[in-house]
Amino acid sequence: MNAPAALRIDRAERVELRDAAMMPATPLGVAQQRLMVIMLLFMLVTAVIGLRLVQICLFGSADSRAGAGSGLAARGEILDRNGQPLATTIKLWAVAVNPQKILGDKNILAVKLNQLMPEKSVDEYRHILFGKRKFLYLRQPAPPELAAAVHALGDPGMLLLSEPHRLFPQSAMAGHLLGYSQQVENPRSHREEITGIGVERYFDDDLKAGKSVALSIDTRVQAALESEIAKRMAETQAVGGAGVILDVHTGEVLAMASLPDINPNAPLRDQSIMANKVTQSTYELGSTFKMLTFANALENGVLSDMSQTFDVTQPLHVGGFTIHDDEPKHRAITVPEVMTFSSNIGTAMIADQLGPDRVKAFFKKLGFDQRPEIELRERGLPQFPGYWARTTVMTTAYGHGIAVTPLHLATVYAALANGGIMHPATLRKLPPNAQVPGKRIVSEATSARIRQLMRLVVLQGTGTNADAAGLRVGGKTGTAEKISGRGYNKNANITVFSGVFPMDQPRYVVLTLLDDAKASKATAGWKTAGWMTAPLTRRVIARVGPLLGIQPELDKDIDVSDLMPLLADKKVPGKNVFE
Amino acid sequence: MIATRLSAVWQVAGVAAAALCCYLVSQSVAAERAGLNKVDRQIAETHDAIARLQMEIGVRARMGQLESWNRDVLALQAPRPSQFVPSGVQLASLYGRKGQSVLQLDPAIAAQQGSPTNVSYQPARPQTQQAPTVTTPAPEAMPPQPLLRNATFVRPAPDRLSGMSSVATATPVVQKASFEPIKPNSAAKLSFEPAKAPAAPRVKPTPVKLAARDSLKPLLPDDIGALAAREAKGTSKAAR
Repeated sequence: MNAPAALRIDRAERVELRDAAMMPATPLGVAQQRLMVIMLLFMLVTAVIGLRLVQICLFGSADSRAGAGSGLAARGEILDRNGQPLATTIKLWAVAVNPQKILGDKNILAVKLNQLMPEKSVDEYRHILFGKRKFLYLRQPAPPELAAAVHALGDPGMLLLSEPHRLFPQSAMAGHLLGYSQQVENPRSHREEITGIGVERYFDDDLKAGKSVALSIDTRVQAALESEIAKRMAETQAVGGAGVILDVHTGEVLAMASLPDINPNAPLRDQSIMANKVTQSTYELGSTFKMLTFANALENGVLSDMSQTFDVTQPLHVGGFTIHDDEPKHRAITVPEVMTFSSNIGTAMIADQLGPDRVKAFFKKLGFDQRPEIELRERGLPQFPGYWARTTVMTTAYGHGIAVTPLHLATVYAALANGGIMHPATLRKLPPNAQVPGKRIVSEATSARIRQLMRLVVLQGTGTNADAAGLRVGGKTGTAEKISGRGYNKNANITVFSGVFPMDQPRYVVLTLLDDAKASKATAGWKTAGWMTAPLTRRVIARVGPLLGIQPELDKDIDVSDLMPLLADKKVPGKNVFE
Repeated sequence: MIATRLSAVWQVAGVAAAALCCYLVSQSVAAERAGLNKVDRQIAETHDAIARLQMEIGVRARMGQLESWNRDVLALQAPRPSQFVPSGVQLASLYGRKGQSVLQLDPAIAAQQGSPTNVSYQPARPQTQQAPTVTTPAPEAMPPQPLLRNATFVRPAPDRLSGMSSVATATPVVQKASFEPIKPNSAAKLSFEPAKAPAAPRVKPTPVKLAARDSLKPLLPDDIGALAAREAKGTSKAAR
């Protein structure tokens, strides 16, 4: 049935063609007609191509540029808790050259380049321009004036590139904290890997995705902390310094300083100072541990009576070790006096009563056997004793034979002051009234007693130099000989002060540390923490307290009246105080 | 005839024209889109420029730089604890130091509510049997007094104390009160005892308690403070 229909169509077409052909009546007409159709088709195609070319010429580059711009998100910013940028990305010019595309005289160009960028000689530029390379950076980043001058050379071989550049506007401030992040090729696996330190490295994925990171850091507090530590380092010729300020209720880090600092704008200049002294380096933190031992003893009922006395007239000889006090007392001293005099013997006796199990368990509860919790990769592993002999129990009680990071200690002091709940330190800005994870390490009552003891140390003990007027500072000094190699360096100290303010309603922990601070006339010949880091802490607190909304109040203080009668020798306030 | 012959050509031309029109429409759309992209690009460039400028401001005003300017150029210092004033009363007490004029009240308020001279710290003249009245007539014989007095519980500033001696001798009418310990010898003029005004004879108040104190006075030595200090000194020496 189909065949006849097809035949019918063919026949009809043939008839039609025959009719059409019959009109011009010549095969030439048909050919011309076909030629015209083909020509029109060619014209159409040519017009399409022409118009497309016009489109590409006029708008094509714009599309590609816009696409390139929107396709790659700029790296996110790092902001402080008040929205101040600590790290941002801006586009800067870079000057490069493609020697193969140079059209002008290369000798003349070499001279001109030397005039614009004198870091290379004319010969070096000539060597580059006559070389076989196809791309080479000459200045990265380049100031706009230099970019304009290079543009004015007018040679197509000179390339001006607008490139994203990571900038840290506060320069070296919080260098260890902010750090850097970069992609490098692993020489072994030949794979691209991300290296770096600090927040840049830790939050690299978020920042790459264009997300901004709001830190808990307060730029003003950070600057004040770094400035005061640097000043004190210069005064005492210390080789290093560190400091951290924590919110006792949330664990937010408001400032973290590690000096000598690094400049994150050019982080890899000095590899020897790359370690973050607050989170990565571990130290024996000396007598600051006494507050921990007291808290443990109070919690376990060992120190139920504050008036009980300890005979510290003779050094303790335990297992070949001799425990003695820096300033021996020739009488029995009460519990508060053990703290204010910072008696090693008295503290060792208290720890001995606690026993190894409770001491070890308490330190483990405080996380001293693990790396500190914070949003950084540089977290040091403490040197936690493996075997708890009697001597270990006694020496760790006053901070020897155990090494932790300063952040460990600051976190614990925050807990001891805030009512007994330990919060992990965090660098993220928390919203107001945020639920913060925490665990109870001591009771509220123990915390209250510890607050009294902290204040007593500053009022009557070794920490009088830390008493910032009106800000109700409490805390504890700590001095330990510096570990060098396998032993101790008797001529170099690590001096620490871990303080809390205001003691009536604790808000912030301030921990300062100086590495190998030298005695001088300004420190009355002393090189202990009471003369090194205690004055430093006072300066820091006096400066940052009002910034953080804590006004000095001279007629307000924590009540220590129940402990004062237990101190036989009372200091006169303001006497024998530094400065 | 010719039209019939060229009908195929017209058809092709028509199709071509229609295609061309469509293409022109798409071109105009592309042009609009390109215009939008250009605006987007300009916005992005402006953002970049703003970011650059903000960065420049940020870098030039970085905290370290500001601190060095504050310290080296402007010679600024952090405020001292005594400079923080928690209450309005303490703020008012800062006026009138070192011979400066006292805090002036708004004349409108003074005219409306009267001068606060009436609430002077000076012990009121004894009106033993009368109920205390709010509007006590200002004493005529008294020298002019400051409008505002210092509250008794306010700790006077140190330099104020130092300048107190001359003020107290010149106008021994109002005594400043302080809770600071008073040394018997040097600070006799700062004591709570009513100052003696040699020129203006006063009528001594005669409340019951004061009378009792007066009766005890002859029994006590003149300078009991100095005596007590001497005694304490002797005791401490003996203790050693």
